[in-house]
Amino acid sequence: MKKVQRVDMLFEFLRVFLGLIIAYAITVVFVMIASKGSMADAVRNFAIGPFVNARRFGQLMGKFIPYVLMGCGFCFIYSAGRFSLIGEGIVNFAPIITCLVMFKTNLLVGLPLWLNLTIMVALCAIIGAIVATVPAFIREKLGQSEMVLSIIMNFMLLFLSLWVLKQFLLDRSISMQATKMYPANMKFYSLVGTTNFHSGIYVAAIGWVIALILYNYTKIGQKIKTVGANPQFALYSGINAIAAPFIAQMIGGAFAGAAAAVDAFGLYPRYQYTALTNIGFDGLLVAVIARKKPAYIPIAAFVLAYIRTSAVVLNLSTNIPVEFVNMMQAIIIFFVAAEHFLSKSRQKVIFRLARNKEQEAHS
Amino acid sequence: MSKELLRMENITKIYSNGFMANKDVSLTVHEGEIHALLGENGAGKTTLMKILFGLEDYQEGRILIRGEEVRIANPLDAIAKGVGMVHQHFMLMEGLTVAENIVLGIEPGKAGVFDKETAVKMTLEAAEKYNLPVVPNALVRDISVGVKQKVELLKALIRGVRLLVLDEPTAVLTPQETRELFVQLRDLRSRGYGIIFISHKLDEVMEICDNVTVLRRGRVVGTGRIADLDEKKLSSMIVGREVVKTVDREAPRRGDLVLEVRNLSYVDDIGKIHVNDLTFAVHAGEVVGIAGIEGNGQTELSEVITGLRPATKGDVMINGQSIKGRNIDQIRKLGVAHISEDRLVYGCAPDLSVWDNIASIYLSSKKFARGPFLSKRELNKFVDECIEEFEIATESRNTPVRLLSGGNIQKVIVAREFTSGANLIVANQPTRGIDVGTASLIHKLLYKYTREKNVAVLLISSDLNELLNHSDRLLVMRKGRFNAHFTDLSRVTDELLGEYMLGVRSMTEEEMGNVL
Repeated sequence: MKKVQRVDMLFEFLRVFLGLIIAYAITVVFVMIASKGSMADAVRNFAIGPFVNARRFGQLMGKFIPYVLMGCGFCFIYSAGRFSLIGEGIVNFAPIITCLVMFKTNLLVGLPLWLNLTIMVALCAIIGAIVATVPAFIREKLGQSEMVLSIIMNFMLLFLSLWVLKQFLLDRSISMQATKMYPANMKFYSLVGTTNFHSGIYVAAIGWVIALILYNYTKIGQKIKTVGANPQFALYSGINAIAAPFIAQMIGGAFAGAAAAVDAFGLYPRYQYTALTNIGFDGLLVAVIARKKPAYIPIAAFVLAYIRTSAVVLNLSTNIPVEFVNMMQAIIIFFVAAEHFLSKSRQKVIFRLARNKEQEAHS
Repeated sequence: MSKELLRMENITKIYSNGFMANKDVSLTVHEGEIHALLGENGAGKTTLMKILFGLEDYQEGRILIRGEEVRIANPLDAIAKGVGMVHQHFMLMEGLTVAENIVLGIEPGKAGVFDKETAVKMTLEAAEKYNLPVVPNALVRDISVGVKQKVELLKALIRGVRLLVLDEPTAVLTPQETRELFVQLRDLRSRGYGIIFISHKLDEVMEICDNVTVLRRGRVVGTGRIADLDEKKLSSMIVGREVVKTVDREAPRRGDLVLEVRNLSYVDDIGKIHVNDLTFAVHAGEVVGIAGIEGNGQTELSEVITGLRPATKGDVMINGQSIKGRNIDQIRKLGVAHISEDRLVYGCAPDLSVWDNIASIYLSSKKFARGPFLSKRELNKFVDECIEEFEIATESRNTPVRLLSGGNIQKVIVAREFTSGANLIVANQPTRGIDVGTASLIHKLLYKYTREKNVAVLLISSDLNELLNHSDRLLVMRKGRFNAHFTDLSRVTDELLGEYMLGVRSMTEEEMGNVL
């Protein structure tokens, strides 16, 4: 059985890896076809564009940081067998409430930067966890679809955030819809020059470690995995099959809140979200690529951040639009999520293994 | 010799977990022949029949029907080619009538409107033609197991199949119903139908079959005419050794009251009474068996005791404490372990590892925990000990359970439940569908735990041999009530049990004596 288990793991890995490679290859081909200028330039921009200078790499890291947190959160929701997409709305909503505290109270004034950032991230995480209880309650207590409700709620949260922004926080001195500039002791600072690579990376690192511990070393993490793998078995084992997924969704909401904090207070000088950010959906994709395992989240987050940055670079340097590259996302999901991809070859290898074992036993 | 109906040649099937279920298996069935397919659980009989019925694919070999090579893609295809199957667990719609079930998929009617009258007529005609009397307008939910089987047979016959596969058709029948079935099967044989008869009961095979093929560990180990064989030869072919049936058992030393059930009733959502005012008890150190035809409330009883279903009336006391108002975790903590009959639904999480599957019952307890954290090192050690003590054939504790064989999956479940520290083990069909080695290990454990560790065991099974050989007392359940109570099992026979299970006989309360 040892060999079979190894084959099983190998194909699990191959499925993700080949899925990424194929998606990448297809996209490169399309980039070549679509580019009106030099084909080589287009491909180079796409492939190594994000690494050619500090600014672009900073851009990549700016995306990477919230992806790590959002991806970790989704690991819990997804492991519990739930599909709440509420993270998307939390990205808009948690920071605007934090902005109310920032601009309308004196709580944060005069405190040191590190303490303020801690408070702000914690506040966003708490708001995220609370917001996530709504679809969780609907699912666990009322038995309705958390996915449908969370998608609807995302739009409610977007417009609620915009209302708060316009009603209480709008900076009338500029032409865009945004708050005033964040005070200097209430935002993440850039680690490399003036790039987007900011100190939120520390939050991402701490968040990742917390996710690893929660997921692998605690009773609740183990309960979440068990309920997600087989709810009836969990029930039979004496696990509260309502509480565990409920808590999983709250943990997901808290991580989404933290992702919102590092994005809103790390990349921008003021709160200026006027649409959904897509970070929530990207977080889902990160978790899918990482096969629900927090350990693989940083790699998955980096891959996605790289693809997204490539798209932007390409958009700026050639005639190829961002949306064009974003279709790669669809191809990745297609391969990574498709259980049947490579299943025939896997079957063949296992068949051959069993044959060999048979012959060995005979000789 | 009559015409050849089916020939399967050198079939090899390997499951996706690398398990070789069939290896170079060949099988031939002629018209007007009842062919027995024998073998222990896990020998590959069911897999072979699933291949024939298009439910599983195969890697090597070929199938010929009436001399023509075919590739059977799915059950519809199989039926079109004249192969019908009656599964061990009936595939009927409980909420529909007999006639509706029989014409399912070939409904008569015009423009998409179902013509019920014609359906009833078709059913009656077929029932008469094949001498299988059924009531077309009865709901399947309300008819007996024996009649359900007739419905299954009619369902296949009305679609024009010529070869019938019967997977353990007598497992759920009483001896009386079995005799009736045999009359019908002989009738079909005389009409030129081919029948593949899968069974564990050698006397039945000797009685009704013409030829036999025996499988062991996925291979054909013997084939021949029944007339040339006897039960002893057959059984040694099946297990590869002579069967020893009797086990030496010391009389139990009955200890304290562990499980006490008082006037317990369970009524489901649609008002059907599954458990009807039952009172009984199990003491420390004894195995109390519950016999009964499946579906007479045994499963519901075990699930009420273990907390999976709420009691409608009455009470269950475990070690002196009521389970009322307690959840499954709290009931487990009162000292209950549960081996569920549905091993892949309740018993384990197939995608999780052996470790995860054993750890699952400790996630709300203080054992193996430091505050909110799991003490992985202690758990690792514990799981490794379980793997060793219960002889679980697994590469490591991190191997997903789905990669193990059925017997080893059951060992994981048994290991978890037996080591939980409980003093009441509710074992529902603990050895169904698993190999003899594991079954005898489980039987030995049940014995050891009751005699040495003073554990109380409630053993629910449809395997009468298991019950007769491994219980200290035996209750027979019928329609949610007890119908018989035996304290001396040495004088109880299969036949006698069958009569009580069917309700031909029934004990009075005085005859049953003290069930506490």
